[in-house]
Amino acid sequence: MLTMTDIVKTFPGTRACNGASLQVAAGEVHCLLGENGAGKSTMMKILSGSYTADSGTITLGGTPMTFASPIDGVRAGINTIYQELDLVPDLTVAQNLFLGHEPRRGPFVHRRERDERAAAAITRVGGTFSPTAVVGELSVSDQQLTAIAKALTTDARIVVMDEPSATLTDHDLAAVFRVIRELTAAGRSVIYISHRLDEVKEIGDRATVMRDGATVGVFDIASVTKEQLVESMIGRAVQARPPRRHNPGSGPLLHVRRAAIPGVIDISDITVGRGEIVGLAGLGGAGRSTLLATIFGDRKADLDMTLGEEHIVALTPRTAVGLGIGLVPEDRKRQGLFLEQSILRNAAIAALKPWRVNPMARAREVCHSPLSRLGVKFASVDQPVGQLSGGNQQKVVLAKWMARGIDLLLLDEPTRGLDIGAKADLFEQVHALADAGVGVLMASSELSELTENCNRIWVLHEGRNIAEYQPLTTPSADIARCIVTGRTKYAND
Amino acid sequence: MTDLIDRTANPEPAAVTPKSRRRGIIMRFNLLFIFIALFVVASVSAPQFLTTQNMANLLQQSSLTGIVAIGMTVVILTSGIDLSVGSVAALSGMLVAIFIGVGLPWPVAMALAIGSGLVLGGVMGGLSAYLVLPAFMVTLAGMQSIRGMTYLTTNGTPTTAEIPMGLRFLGAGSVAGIPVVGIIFVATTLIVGFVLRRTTFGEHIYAVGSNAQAARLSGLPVQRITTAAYVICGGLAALTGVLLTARLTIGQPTANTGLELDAIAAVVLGGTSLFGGKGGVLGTFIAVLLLSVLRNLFNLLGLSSFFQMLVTGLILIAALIMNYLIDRQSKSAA
Repeated sequence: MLTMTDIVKTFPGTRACNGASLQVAAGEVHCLLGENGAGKSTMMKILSGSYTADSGTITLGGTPMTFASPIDGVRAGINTIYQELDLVPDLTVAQNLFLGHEPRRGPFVHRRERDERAAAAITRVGGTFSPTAVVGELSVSDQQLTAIAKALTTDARIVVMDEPSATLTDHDLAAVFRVIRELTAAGRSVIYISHRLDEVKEIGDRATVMRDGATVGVFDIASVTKEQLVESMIGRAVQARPPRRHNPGSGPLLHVRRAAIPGVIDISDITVGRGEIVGLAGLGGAGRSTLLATIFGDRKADLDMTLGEEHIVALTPRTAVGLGIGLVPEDRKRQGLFLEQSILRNAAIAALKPWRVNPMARAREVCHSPLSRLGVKFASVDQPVGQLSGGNQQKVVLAKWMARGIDLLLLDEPTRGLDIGAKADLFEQVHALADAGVGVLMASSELSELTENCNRIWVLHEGRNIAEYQPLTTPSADIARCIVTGRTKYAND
Repeated sequence: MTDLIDRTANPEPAAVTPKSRRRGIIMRFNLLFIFIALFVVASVSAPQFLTTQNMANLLQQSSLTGIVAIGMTVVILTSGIDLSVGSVAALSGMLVAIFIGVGLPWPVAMALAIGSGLVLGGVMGGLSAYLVLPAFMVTLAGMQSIRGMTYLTTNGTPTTAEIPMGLRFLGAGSVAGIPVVGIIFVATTLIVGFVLRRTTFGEHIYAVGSNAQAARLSGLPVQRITTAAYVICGGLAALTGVLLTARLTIGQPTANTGLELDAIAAVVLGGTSLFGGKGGVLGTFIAVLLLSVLRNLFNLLGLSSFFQMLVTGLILIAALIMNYLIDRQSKSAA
């Protein structure tokens, strides 16, 4: 149905695509795999018309196509759901879904019809929010569902999903998979980009693997192992995972006796010891991010906690940083980085002492070590951080706190959109920090990530911390059940 | 002008590293290039241009706007705007004349007048930062009410004062043929440039302008930093007002009308992004001189100020297009 052949696309300084090819059949879920920077997103932007390829051909249903702009892509029946959600935050869900093709009666928008059709589209993707809700006020997960519903309101022949699961909870993902199956059953094709091979195995029919801008393999997913896919992606055999840590922590660090925001969260008695990594699991909206934001002073709450010797009932991000707390926020571009500023500035900003002359000279040395230990790939520390890949950007956010020196590290979805290599680099340093006595509290919607890295896992449900698990002694399935149902095994008995 | 666009459209194919830095230099270099070209054109086409007298005049004229533009650069770097600078300058110009009139020693009168600018800047910046009010509206309101306050000081009439020699010297004197206000302008540029590039406070200004939310979550005192930017801007505007009164020996409540637009134009022409986080005072400095040379040239050639307005506008548009092209280049490289 779709064939992209010998695609070349060069940007100043880099060649993003170098003879890449992709063939997608009608009615299949075709997975596009590769590490960050392998050229997947560039290929999809060429397909959608956002970029124009330097050379190469695209044929759709046997007809050669040239896309000069995203409109051409949409007209040809290609609809892309980007990683960066292209929704208008101040408009309602219904307004967003039909932006540009509103149901009309004469010159007027037919509001009722729009709301009804929007409600149907939301239900179809498994959402439970109202079509008249303002998009900016929805959770990230619901926003992602809105973006998917939007792609379905146009009659697309090919739907491109760029890492939808990065922001979705497992529960929402199930609904999205159901939609994908409906689409393919109707003869549509889905191009699915993800770093999570479990999903790829579950939903995909075939996979194209890209590396360094070129296509290195096409696999039939039913007959390939995850290890083979990874090997193809990174170009070498996968090393066995380092053994899980059993560091029980060395003395108390953080004790959140109470953190409550009426109607949002009601948390009691969560502790993090020095050198301990504690996980926060839960569905989207369960309160994980809100709890982290509360501990960091970014959300006002009824708070009662102890950090080291300090008894805290109210704080701001500024005082939190002063107390030795660092937060790696959920949305690194909006909350974590100064995109057009240099890598050095980004890494150094929290470590600069006030009223100093020429603080950057010293910062250059202070930041060198964390940046190199994290394996940030850059040409120069004076390069704008926005030019880095997502994984390297996230490493810079972590480097900021390593350069500053902290006692408590809060991680909110730290591996969102990261490839396998970048994840490993990141966790290696998180473990190194823990070994040095830093307490870590980490929220993640990937349960495997929590069970592999945490000493203990708290499950949050509807704003409450309902159960604590030891991943070494509890089967993941039990934790997963608790996350979804909000009931512990014992409560059922 | 074609050079300006060609250079940005075809950047040298360089390695990723120094590219952004080189681009920054190219951007500044372009402005400097235009400035030098204009300077040469002016020297050739108007023989009086390169005289010491004219040079001194030129510096004298550009310095007052220049000092305000330097303060404005700091505010715009935080992604703010200050529309009240003209009114603040007028008020402080009135105040210094009035204070001297009632017999205060001139350094005290000057300090009080500049203090008024610092306070007003602090109030407006504080309202904008702590209550999250749009700076555009707060300073627009400030522009109106401070101008009103200025008229109220003397019920709208100018006030004359015996300006003491010391203050006269600051406003109209010269050292070795160089106007003192010019020296103050250069010194202001150097000091503010140093603060922006070589201090923690300067780093914080860029961080806040680049992404205020990320700055807050990095533990920076964002509201204090933002307020401080307006305090600096208000103080420099007030200094300008004092210097103008010192030169004219009269406090004019109508003085400095439209000063904010001249200052903003110079800042933007100098390559500072209105969205904050990008730019600096060197660009502003060159832009201020460029705009004055242009004005001076038109005056010497006997062309009307209408031409001057038209060409100034066109230059601004060209500068914006240049910034757009540079931005697009660096984005597509990401």
